[in-house]
Amino acid sequence: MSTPSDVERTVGHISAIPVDEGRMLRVDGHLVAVFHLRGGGGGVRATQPWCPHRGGPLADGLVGDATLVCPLHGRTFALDGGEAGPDEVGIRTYPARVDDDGAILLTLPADGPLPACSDDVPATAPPGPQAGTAPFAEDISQAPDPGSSPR
Amino acid sequence: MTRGDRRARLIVVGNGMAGARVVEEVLQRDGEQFEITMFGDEPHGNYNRISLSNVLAGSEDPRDIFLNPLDWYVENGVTLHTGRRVVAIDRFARTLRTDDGGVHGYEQLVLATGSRPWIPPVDDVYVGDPEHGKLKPGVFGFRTLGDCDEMLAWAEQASHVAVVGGGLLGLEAARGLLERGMKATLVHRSDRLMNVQLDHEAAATLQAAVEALGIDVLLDTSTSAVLGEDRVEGLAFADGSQLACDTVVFSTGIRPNVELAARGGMTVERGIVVDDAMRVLDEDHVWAVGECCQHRGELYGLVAPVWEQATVLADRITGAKPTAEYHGSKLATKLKVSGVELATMGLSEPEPAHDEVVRFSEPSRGVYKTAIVRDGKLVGATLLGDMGKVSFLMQAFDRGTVLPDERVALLFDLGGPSTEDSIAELPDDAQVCNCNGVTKGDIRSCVAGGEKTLRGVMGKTRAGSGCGSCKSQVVEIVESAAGGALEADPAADLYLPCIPMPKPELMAAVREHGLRSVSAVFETLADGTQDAKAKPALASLLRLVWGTEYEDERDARFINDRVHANIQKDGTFSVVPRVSGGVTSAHQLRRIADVVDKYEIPMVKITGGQRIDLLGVPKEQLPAVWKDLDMPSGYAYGKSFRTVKTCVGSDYCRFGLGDSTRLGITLEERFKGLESPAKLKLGVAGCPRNCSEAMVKDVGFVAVEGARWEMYVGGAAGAHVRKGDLLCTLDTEEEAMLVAGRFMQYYRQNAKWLERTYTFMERVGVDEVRAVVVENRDGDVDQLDTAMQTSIDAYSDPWLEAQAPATPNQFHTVVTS
Repeated sequence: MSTPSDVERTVGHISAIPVDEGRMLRVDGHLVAVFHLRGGGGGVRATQPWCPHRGGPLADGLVGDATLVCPLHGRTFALDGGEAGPDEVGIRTYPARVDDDGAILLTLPADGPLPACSDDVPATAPPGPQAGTAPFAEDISQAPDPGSSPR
Repeated sequence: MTRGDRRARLIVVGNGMAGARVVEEVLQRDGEQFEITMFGDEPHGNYNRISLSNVLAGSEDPRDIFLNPLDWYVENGVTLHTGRRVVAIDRFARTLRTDDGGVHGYEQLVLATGSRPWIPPVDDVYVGDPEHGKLKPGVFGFRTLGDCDEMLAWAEQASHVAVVGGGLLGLEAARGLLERGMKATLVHRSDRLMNVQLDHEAAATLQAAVEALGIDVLLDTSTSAVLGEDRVEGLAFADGSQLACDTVVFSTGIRPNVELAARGGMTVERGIVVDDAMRVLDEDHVWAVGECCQHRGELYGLVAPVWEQATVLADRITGAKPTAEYHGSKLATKLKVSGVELATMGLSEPEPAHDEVVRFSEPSRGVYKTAIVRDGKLVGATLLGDMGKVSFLMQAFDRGTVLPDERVALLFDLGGPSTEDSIAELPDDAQVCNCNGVTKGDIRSCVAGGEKTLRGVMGKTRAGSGCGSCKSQVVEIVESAAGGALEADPAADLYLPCIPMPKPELMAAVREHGLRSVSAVFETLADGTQDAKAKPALASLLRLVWGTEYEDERDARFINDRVHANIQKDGTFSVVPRVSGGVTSAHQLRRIADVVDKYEIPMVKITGGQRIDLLGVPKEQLPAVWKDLDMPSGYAYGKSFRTVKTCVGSDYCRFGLGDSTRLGITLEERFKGLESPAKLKLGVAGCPRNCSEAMVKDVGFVAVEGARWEMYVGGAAGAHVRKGDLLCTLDTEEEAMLVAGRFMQYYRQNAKWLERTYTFMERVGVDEVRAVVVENRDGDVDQLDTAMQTSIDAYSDPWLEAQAPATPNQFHTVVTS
């Protein structure tokens, strides 16, 4: 629930995310997964970036009717509220909307940018080079201009 | 505080098979009188613990072993608290307290707290403070779905398991992990396997069968310590010897969970002591059932006694039968280890003075049978390697029926009716499903009551839903009772659960309405409800129907198909270029090597499909890697035609009868990337030595004398192992190409989503496939050829998207504004 003291801020442009797909966006050095919905009147949803099960990248998951499926082992979460399948751990969600200019606005909790937790590292740090960070290199030179429409 | 609900409160502590069974039995007997609340430690509904061995071995999906899904509790008005522990019982106030401080009052309390694996006092099993022992990484008990999950996750990076304990469960655990590709050693204290159930000779025969599977057996070996500093590196034994291994599973028995009852002041010996009514000794309102309870000095760890106890308890607690009594159970069990058939019941050793023993042993075939008769009744039997008489013996053991005068007829059918006939001749009160106590008559009357599908009968009677070993008998009884009127289960043929149509019907509807995109299908055929998990299945089907006219919505693709690479556990991807027929060149290898150096690719692996896998590539680097490789995609990520494995063939091999590499390359070049319900892996062998394993591929060709090709379909050597069915023998490579295309197209049009050819062939049958694909019985081959050609013409190399991404940020996980 938003309260007046919560902070709403622009985190990106809707054109950066294809319809019914997700991408991770950076906020104050933290990552948030944002999904661009086709159904239910469109709009965006925002969640924590990693699956609580084995640290899968949620932004790479399948989406349908505000349900999200983790790409690694198929854990399912509600994009509204973050509830998981029966008796599984849910995910954190954040209020998000798109304004008339297509800017994605994320409401952050009033008591800090994002809860101080290890959101940027998968729950079980996977092996491999620079676990957890290498796959998401910061190279964005090939990102399309904001404003070009998804096809 | 007042409650709105005036009904008596029944609380069941424990949501395992026993607790849930009690509630089911209560509901069947005027359950309305109770407001029912259950507490369970494990975070799910109730599942069939007996099937955990199958889950471990990969022969059963964890989702399929649930007996009571969470919906069931809701539908029946049962309040289930999972993951909340009951910490104290006040039996005078009739309340219990949970770990979150909640207090719950009851009128009736059922304790079904079950048991836990017992780990013997071995040194260094735990890490850290032994008082609050955390098992050393690599050490497992084998009891819950959670144990199973953890073991399987661990097994991915482990190679050698030592299973401590050579009982039923230990054998099943060893076999399960062997199936997962681990080396397995069974360590047992006693001088023979399954020493509780088997005599020496039977155990020796069993041991030979187990060793033949590839499991090492160490007898008379007492484990003294787990080696390894912070993870398992081996076991040390009492005789001073050691065994190197990276995984240890303790299967050394169970201990009842009695602490809660003991703290609550109830009578506890080895288990919670109950009387014949299943009531806890001297308690009016507390009952106990299952593995946590002790009845007439006995603890039971098998499922059949639990069912019997639950029935009595429910009869009593509801007042349906106020004098119901439980008098103990006769124990019979079957081993669920594929490749070894074993059933035991009752005694394993006779008492020499009075008992008659009938024994047959044929160790070379692994067959051992024995029956023990006392006062004209069967009191024990073991069947190993030949289950021919198992239903008859179970029946005789359970009911104490009159035995044949010719005792040898206990073990063999003497020129009499075959086993099948003997099922038909079983009396109606013969118990068929021993796990759930279902008789032949129960099954027949269920069918007579109008249930005409196998799944329906199994759902209603629960026959066959325990250990599953009686399933074939259940099928037979249902079929004969339905007199040929057995209906196919409609759900068995659905392509997807969310749209209730079999595949051909769904394809017709898609054509009829002109539905070219996944969202259009949801809109028209599913009331606009999108099902995320159904998207890839529909995308595959639409591409099959429409070819190039398919309207591709990228969100309908699984991540692998969005970025044309296979996602790994750390979120990186693997890149596998096409190397048709596994034939490469110095030029290609040099280029691959350069790419590995340039992008510092951490792992390069030769795959089982004779290709080269570059692992650990970040998504952002995929386009650049593809460009530098300058090779086409090998489709190692999709539900599609993958690869053709070949042997050296006739050019160099001195045994080669056919040019397997040429046929392999031609197949792969023609069918590359073909969309399919599940992956297709092919093989071509140049002679029947079969070096490329063509007989266990989805489609395999084997060259035989006379330059002809045998074509095998539906083979598998992965999670399942199945030799392919010989579909036909073909005279030329051209014919081989043609029939391969027809078969794959027929499979594409008729298989369910994710149904591999080995399941598909089991379902459809080789005769049917041959009639359509080879003999052209229905005149379909022209359509199959045309449709296949259309799909082939629609091929384009997805790695060309490196030049022009299909969606914004296609290859970016993190986007910065």
